[in-house]
Amino acid sequence: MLLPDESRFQTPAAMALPWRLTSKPSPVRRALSELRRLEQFKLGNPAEEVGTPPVPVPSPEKWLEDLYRLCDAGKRGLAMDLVLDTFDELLFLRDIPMCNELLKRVDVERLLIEVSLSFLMETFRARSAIGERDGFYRRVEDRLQRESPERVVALLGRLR
Amino acid sequence: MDAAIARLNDPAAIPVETIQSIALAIKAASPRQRHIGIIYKNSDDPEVGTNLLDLGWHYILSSGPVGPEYLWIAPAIEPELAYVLAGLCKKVAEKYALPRRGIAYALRYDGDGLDIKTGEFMDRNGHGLTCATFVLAMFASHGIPLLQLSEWPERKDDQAWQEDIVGVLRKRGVNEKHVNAVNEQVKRGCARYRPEEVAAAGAAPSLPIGFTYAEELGKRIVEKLGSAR
Repeated sequence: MLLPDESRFQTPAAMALPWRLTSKPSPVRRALSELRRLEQFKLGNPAEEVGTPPVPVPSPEKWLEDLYRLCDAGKRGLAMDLVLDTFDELLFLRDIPMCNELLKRVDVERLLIEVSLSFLMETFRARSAIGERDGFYRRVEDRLQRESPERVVALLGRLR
Repeated sequence: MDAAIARLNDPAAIPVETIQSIALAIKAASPRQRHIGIIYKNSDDPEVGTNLLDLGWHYILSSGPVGPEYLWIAPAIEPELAYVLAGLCKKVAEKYALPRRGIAYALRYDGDGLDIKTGEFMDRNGHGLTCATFVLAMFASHGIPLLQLSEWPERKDDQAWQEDIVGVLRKRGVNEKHVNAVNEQVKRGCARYRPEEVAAAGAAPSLPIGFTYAEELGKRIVEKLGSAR
């Protein structure tokens, strides 16, 4: 007679993980955080148990340093993702002051061109609300004028 | 026009995997109906693959492999812009191509598919997109208009198609308020941007394209779709 393999029935040991894994903000997580807000409303005040919704940019300095580091390493996809995710979340939260803050402080000379374009394309729909976008656009334009003047119109022509 | 139509590729001859970042894909869904979507690819990560993002129906936004029945065409935009657009497609797929999410299906489009501030696709009663206006919204809301929308007329033969759509929305049990609002749009009259006319923008040497060019090239695209199968 075959006996069952007991190891199959053993409960795995608990893993020493923090209660919540950290990750960068993403639209999917946003949907989840929305759900959480909704549940908070229904349940009363479980905020102490579940925490507060993540702040997209706790520190502009650190966010910019992360972005420059990705650009320096040539990781254009990750750098672009950081910009798209962050601004998507900021616009969703209507945090226009932080959009302005980042656009004002970012050094376009340290960005890959695709990353500069991702700022402009992601904020295009809200261009009338974000005052600092014009200044950012001009700095990107100035850089392109110096480096590839023949491409300024094709790259930036419709993004103003 | 011949040069433009030659840019519409059959995947049997030129696989979609050869696109750099972004392309438009069109197929004949039936003898009277075409369907369009956006092919996007992460050129930094070949393992992610090439995907089609398309609005199939009311709240059915999909992202997945591109079927062999689609012809494809890469629009004349700078590679860096195409790269960011592909990234944006990936984000929209993550956000909307989920069960019980998606985008509402509706007929009127005046260039405002996305909420100006939040970036959410608008889906209040009567608001929504078709497969073709979804593609238009994805490009235009990020600074790349494909069509000169103001040139599009209301056409008699489109109204019959629009009435059919209202009937199908109703038959499939879509929220009555939404169906009534869409029906109201049809009664008042609204231009239709046909999938083949949106695909024509992909073949044009510069953007956005006007109605005359789009209509003529659109007819050639329909012919090519017919002869490709």
